[in-house]
Amino acid sequence: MVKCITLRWFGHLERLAESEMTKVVILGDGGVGKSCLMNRFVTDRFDEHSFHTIGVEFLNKEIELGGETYTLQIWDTAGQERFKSLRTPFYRGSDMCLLTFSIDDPPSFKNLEMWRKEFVYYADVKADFPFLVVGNKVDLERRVEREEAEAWCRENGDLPYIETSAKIATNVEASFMMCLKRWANIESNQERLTMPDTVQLDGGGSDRRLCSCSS
Amino acid sequence: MPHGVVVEWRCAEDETSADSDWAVINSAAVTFTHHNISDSVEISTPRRNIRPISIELIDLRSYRLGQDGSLVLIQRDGTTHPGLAFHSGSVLCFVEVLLRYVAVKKSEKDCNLYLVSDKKQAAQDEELLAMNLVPQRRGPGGGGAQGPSSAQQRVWGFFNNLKRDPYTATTGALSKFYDAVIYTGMEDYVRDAEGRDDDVAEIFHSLNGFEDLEPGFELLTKKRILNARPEVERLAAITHDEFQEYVDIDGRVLDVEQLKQRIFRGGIHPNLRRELWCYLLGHYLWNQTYVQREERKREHENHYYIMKQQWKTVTEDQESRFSGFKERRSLIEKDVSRTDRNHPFFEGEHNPNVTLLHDILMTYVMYNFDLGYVQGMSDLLAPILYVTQDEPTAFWCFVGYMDMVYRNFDMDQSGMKQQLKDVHQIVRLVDPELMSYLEVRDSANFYFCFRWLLVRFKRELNYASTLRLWEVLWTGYPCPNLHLLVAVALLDTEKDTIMENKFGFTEILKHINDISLRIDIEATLKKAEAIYLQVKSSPRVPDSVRTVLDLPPQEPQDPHEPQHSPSWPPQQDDRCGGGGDGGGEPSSSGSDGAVDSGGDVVEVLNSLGIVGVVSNMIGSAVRHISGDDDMVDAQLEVPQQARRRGETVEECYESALSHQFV
Repeated sequence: MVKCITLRWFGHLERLAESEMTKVVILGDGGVGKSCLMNRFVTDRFDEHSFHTIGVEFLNKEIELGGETYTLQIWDTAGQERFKSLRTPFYRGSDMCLLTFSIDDPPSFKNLEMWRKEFVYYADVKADFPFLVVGNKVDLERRVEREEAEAWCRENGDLPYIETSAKIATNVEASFMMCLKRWANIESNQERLTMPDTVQLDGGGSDRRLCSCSS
Repeated sequence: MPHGVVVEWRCAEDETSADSDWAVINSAAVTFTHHNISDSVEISTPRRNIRPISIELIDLRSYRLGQDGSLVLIQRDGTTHPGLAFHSGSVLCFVEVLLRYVAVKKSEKDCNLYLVSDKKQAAQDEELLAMNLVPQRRGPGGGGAQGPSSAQQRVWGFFNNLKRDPYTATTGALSKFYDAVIYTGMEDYVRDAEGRDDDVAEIFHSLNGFEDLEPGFELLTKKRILNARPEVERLAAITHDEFQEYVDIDGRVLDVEQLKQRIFRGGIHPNLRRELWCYLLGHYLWNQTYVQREERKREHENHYYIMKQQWKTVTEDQESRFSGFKERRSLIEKDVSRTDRNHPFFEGEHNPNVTLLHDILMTYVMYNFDLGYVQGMSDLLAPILYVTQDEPTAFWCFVGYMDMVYRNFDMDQSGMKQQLKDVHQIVRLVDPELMSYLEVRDSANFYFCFRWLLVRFKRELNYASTLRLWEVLWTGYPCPNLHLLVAVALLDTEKDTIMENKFGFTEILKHINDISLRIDIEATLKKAEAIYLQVKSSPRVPDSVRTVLDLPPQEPQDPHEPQHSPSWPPQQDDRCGGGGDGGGEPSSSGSDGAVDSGGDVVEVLNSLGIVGVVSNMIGSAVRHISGDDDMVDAQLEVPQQARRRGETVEECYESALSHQFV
């Protein structure tokens, strides 16, 4: 078997030296497809029999929005209640959160409330935090109605809702983009609030949880 | 470093469909066809199904060359790619091409590791070297570092590093100072309480001129508190014929401890595994005859099917008012369908072995409803089912395994936290250098070992290696916590990669997750046992580590006196072998003599104001040079942490675990 390893030069493809690193956490019950959503988004692959996650994993993915390159650092955790104390420390410093359930699994939908509370508590974030509610597995027979999910989102601070399938690659990239846009909006609003002629005593910028990519 | 240079690899067969494949991997795909240079080196690789690799050169941190001509690429974020096997010698062609774009520096510590550096920085280094300002370690000139001006050179070296990477240089230096204080202090205290003041003065003096702070961690390596690590041999697996020598005419197993030691030393031949696993996991009893064994087997079988009937007959109506049961069932269903489905034994749709996994786990829920089903259990069961290939047998062997590891699944995870703490204790003793590094990078919680420990390395190893490791662990030799030493051994193997690449918490986590399925289990077991023997033979081991490794408590004796003869490794003529291991030692703990935390020394230093002086001194240097205000908080936190550690390791750990990791 002969394979090739290649060094290629993309002459005009100058990458920004510093792209913004934003942290995304995917939460939801065990088996709703958190890892599969992440893998579909980052590598565009789907493995029907991939392992359930133990501990935490993360993947990085660069994404462009409005001419700027962002690096999403996507964190995927084990969903079982038992591992809560080892999962929650990773919530700190998050910029976005995907609350995930499976549309063929009503209990996973009911637990969204629990996940949202757990995240808000441990990540210590404000009410306008960019959540995105994701109903995964639209390729399967539906047992949670779309209206039901949308109603829940309305009652919980008008959260955006999207339905996806990691298996058949429906809306996966769109959901991450949606989340990023929402985050970018909130960020720019905050920037507008910090007036340029205001003297800031704490020396920092806004409350942005950003770090520059060390490239 | 040039932007836009990409190292990519993919299967040659994919070449035709490559462009579309590529398009979905990288958002920059549209420009794929516009490249104007393309250097190719042909390679062959034994592994199938490797995903295409593409790395922007700017993201490449280092690469490792294997003895067999393979090449592993490591990215800045810790991503560690599968090894690529080159045709003989062609790996050099790859390196040659690579060198057109980047400068590469060979790691000083690990001769197979090559660090990619900025060409500008490399040029600067060379200039400095030419000016003879940067200290050379064991250069061809010989003895350069011992010269009279070496202290000055080190000061320069320290500041050179400070300029390049102020946070690391400073906190690294500070934590080295702390470890030196704690470890050398402990040693000196035990040896000679009166001489303590002199030693403290010596440490202070050496810090005064930044001696020993640069290069490397010489202050630590100079004063080792452990003996050298011995060489360890392992044997071939025990075979059926060899096992028969341990069995009497009625089927009782004699010399159980010696047999266990034999299994520890080489593992079990595959065709004997089924039988011996039943013994090791308590399904069979060693001292029973063939007849008694059959009887016990029948009883166990009946017991199993009774419990299986219990959950099988729960109706949907019952289940609607039995949420605890329903939740467990739903999670088991989800998890068995994603447990080892790439292994031939469990692959394919409607595989009956997957159903068996499900049924055994459901029956375990009825056997131990309080524990129920926790994620990770299916990973522990699957290899047992594969080896025993019998439903009730697999169940009872699984019960035996769970009896050993049930604390991994504690509701509050205290069993897992304890194990992470234990690993921390061992690493602190056997590798203070790595410990300092991890502390500086907020990684002393050892969270990246979580998956290793939860399912006993099952996700990290292929089946053959998992089976081998587990049967060795089940023997309880050389100590019940061998799995923790396996973790320490693996960290020892990865240490240079982690440190030379300057990985932080997230990068370490990623790297550790990525080395899965690339672990040499026999070498790791050798190293784990060697570390055990090293600790056991050393005179001044803190009691905290002694407890973890089941060593007798330290006796308040003259350290120059020979130690009493160790029971591991067993003597050839000693039939019972390590029988003395399990206790029986007079517990002359000598709590007045043994110092296990070194807290006293830190206190002394505090009272002398040394800690404050040093941190302020270095702190202001950092502020001055980096001009970065955030840096101040970061480096000032280090002394506090160290002080806490000196007093109560547990408290410090708890708080580290409850805080963020990143």
